[in-house]
Amino acid sequence: MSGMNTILKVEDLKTQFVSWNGLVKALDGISFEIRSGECLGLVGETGCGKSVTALSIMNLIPETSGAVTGGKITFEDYNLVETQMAACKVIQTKTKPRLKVRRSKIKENSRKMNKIRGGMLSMIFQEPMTTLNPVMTIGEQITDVLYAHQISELTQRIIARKSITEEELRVIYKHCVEGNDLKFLFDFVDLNNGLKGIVPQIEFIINRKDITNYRKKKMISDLFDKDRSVPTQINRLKVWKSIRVPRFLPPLLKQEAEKVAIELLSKVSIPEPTKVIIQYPHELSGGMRQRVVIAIAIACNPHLLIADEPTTALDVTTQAQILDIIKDLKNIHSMSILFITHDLGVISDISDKVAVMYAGNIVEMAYTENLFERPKHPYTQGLLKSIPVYEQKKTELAAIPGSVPNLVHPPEGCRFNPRCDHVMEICRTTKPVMTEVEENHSVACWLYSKKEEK
Amino acid sequence: MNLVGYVIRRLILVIPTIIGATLIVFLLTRAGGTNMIIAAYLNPRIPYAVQKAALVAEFHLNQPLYIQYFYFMNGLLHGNWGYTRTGIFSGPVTTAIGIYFPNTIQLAIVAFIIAMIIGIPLGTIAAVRKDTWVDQITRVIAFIGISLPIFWLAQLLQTYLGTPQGIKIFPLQGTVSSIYLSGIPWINNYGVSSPTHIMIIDSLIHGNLPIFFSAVDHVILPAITLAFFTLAGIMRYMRNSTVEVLNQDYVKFARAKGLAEPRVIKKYARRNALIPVVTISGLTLASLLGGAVITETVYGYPGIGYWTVQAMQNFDAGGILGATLLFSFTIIAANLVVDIIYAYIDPRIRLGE
Repeated sequence: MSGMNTILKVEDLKTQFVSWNGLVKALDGISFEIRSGECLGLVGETGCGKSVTALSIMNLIPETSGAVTGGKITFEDYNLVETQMAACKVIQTKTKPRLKVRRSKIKENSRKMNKIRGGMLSMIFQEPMTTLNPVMTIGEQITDVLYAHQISELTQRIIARKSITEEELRVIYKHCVEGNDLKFLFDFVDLNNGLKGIVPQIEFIINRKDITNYRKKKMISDLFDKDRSVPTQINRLKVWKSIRVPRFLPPLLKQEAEKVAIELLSKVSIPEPTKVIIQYPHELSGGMRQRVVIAIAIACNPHLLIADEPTTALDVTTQAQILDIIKDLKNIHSMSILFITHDLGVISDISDKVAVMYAGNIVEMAYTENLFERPKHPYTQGLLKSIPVYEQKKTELAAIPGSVPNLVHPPEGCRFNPRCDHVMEICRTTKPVMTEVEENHSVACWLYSKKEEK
Repeated sequence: MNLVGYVIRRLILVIPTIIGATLIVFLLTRAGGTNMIIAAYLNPRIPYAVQKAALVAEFHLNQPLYIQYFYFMNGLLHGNWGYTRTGIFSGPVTTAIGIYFPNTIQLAIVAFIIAMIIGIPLGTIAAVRKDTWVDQITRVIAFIGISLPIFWLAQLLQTYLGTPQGIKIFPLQGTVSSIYLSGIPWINNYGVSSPTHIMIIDSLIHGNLPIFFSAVDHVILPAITLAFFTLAGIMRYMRNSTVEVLNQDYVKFARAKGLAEPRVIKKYARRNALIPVVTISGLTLASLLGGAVITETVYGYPGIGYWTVQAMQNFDAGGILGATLLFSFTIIAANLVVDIIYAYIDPRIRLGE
């Protein structure tokens, strides 16, 4: 495992929101890292900061409500929070906290982030019903992300393909004839032996004096349209090298992007992708929409995929299918995944490592097996106990008393202390730090660090 | 797509709506009593009792109501909308509508275009820059626009832009300078131009630039007055619906895709934000077409609202009836157009089974 390189490193990340009641300390210094090809599961109750972590990494915290106030996120070679923190700061005034926004920095930040977001780093949202734009077709929504990040890849795809389609030929001819670029047309014809037969005809049309240029163009393009013997096996590389590619790109790119979109849809096992591509989101079921969202997220082969409760809104069978797709991505395409959920069953199924979050802190982190077999933190133990098990259906289901505290005035010391069964004096005053109690198993709880100190 | 099917379904729905509208208008006129209906046809030189019997027979007023309604609808369908007799025009209602309605159309459309061109972008900017000074300024503009009484704004504009007291740039009255009202072959005695009856378009068709500029000059002040009021509503609607859309997951997802912010706003937010705005602006246009009574009266602009006021002041039942019917048909047509645009923008509507 040590040979794997770290792809995402979050250090002491703090995110705060401004509200009427005061400053909400949503993330209180969390640290974790994800290695390449690894899946980290982030679990916790609702409102403990899981989604905020994801949004902080993506720089999607709305600048009107909150900001990252400290820490460091390193994704590959990029520092994701530097400009973000410069753009938006939380300042304490006498009465209430306020956000100070610098527009120029925000622009700079989003320009920087837009190169990363959707490309190397992408995200799946929780609600497939609302994640897709209701007034755009599925195809448009997929090709949009391709245009944003993959123009050069699309171009290469066009150039690298062996055979030329008849449609493409027509696009080229249209450009040549309309753009009056007959020299290119001859070059093009020269390169393709199959077309030699029509060269004399074109020359004859060009040399006629009795008709207008417009008419000549029309006749030439008719010639190509009628000629069914146009060979579709042409050495494209030679052709593309001989011409200035960018001029023909827009229409060809669109075709190519649509092809890629269809491939992506079949990758996430959507039946009849050619039909789905012209459909609108409301014509698809929830599971299908989530597949489309995944297709968009993986369109540019991201290095890290953040999945924010991707299966929460789906029924169990669909959930299993979606999980299979995500597992395939991880195993076959060796994508790193940050998987956020409150469902411990899902986590045990998919992730290599688990981080348990409580009220803006990570309280325990371990390999999945270790965590499920030997949970250390009282909160983790409570969570695991509250999973219903068939054999125990006669006994009452265990639950952790109380709920996640208000993060405007979080409890002093360990934030879990009001709900903890093992609460001690030190828990109420001092915040525990993450300590490694076993190999690759760390926990932030005084129950474990106490022994070492004494 | 099934857009065509949707339009056909929607068109069929118009028929019962029209029957309902005409029924209500018909009942209201009948509630006014016999004298009110026949007043426009009375000749002061002939004794009342003699005329009354003849008119009651002519209009089938002694028949049951549903028979009367049948005759009424028959008249409407044959273009017989009754007679109007006011200080500015006496004659068939249809002719009066032909004279005054085009002026209103011209005014309403100019005002509407001004309001949309300014309102939609300002609303979008206010939403994107929510709670900043841009938002505050547009908010103040909207409040002024909504709360300023129209007649006062009209008079302010007249005073400071139309009289020597301020700067005299714009004319005060009418649709076109009075020197053009005689001697031009395509303008008749009532000041109605042919073929479209809309002065701005007709002057361009005939290539008469002085009349064109005069007509534009005359429409600007009333149009600004109406536009300011309309603009305020459209701007606030656009702002609020954009704010709402910007909070939606799909906008967040569009940003997560790495699309540039202008593209997110233009392609993902705006079209969704426009959906509620289309409704309100369609109905706004309809109410503008129904005649801006106050504006047209203050500016002496011979539109449908001006004519309606004249009809009311003259107890002219035919005129009021005609104006009411025209207004209800305009609203029905506007609703129809709004629904069709709606279906075009929002593919979810087309499903509606």
